[in-house]
Amino acid sequence: MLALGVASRSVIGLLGAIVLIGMGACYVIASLIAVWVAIRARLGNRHKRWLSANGLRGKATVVSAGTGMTINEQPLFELVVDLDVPGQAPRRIERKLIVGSFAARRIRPGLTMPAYVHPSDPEDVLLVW
Amino acid sequence: MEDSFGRFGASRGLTDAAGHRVEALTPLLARAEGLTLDPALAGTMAGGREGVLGLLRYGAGHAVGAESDTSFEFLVAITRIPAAEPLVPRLFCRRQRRVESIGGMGFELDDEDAWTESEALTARYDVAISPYQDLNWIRQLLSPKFIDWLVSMPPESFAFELAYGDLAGSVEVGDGSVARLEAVWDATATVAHRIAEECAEEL
Repeated sequence: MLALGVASRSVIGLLGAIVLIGMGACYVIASLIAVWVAIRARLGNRHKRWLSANGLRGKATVVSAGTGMTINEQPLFELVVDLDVPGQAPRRIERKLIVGSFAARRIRPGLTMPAYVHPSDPEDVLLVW
Repeated sequence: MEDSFGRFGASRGLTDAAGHRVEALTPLLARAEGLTLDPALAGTMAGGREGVLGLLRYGAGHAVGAESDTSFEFLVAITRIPAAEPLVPRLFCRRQRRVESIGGMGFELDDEDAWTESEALTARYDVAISPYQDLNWIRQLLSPKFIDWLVSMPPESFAFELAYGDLAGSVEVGDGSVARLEAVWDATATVAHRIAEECAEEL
């Protein structure tokens, strides 16, 4: 009987340790994901800053603007814009863009906004809203 | 107030525009979206630009997000500068400590960059621009001469918001006198002229 009690306590202790280790692992994984997201956002912002300082400046005219999904209560727009950049042939591109709640009220077909294109990568486009 | 509007309109050749419907052209105007300017005048500003001048009143349950009993009143002058749209999406020069809402409408969460390069300007205004906006263009617009004017000439509570080519200048109602209407109308015209002038430099 005594041996059975000791054994069951050992099993409970082992299960407790497994649960604690599992929870700890979850926290570590969640923290790593948060760090990864933060680093990615920081690098993305740094790249946008670079593009706005060194990119070719043109304008983008909204052809269509659809939204349905929100991220952190900010709408995600699926935009089709006509891109007009000096020295480049005009072209139509599609972009997904999260915008603020006020800007979301103003973005509609016909609206024109500044755009920057990477000097050596025409697919790298920044729309300024 | 209506008397002031009547006298100011007569002196400037403006027409009665009472009931002008407020659109969400700038964050301040968005707080009163769907309401009307009353009284209001419409006509040509200094420099030849068309504009609307009116009493903006919202809150006290009238506007989205204004659930308290507090109402807000501003004299606003609204005009449009189409050339600004592809150059400067949002430029807000807000009077510090001005209260425009209780509780807010979420615009406060909008992505904005503070522009703090001028101590004189930031001593009186909170200036915000779109992130990734061309900073050289902003520096050229906010020239020392224009900053001097902004910090010394407009009425104490003057603020302006430029959003996607639409400009709204505003002041607190104060005594609602003709001088007050004149001040916000003319200050907004001056800001519009300066923005248009800088846009023309880009063309």
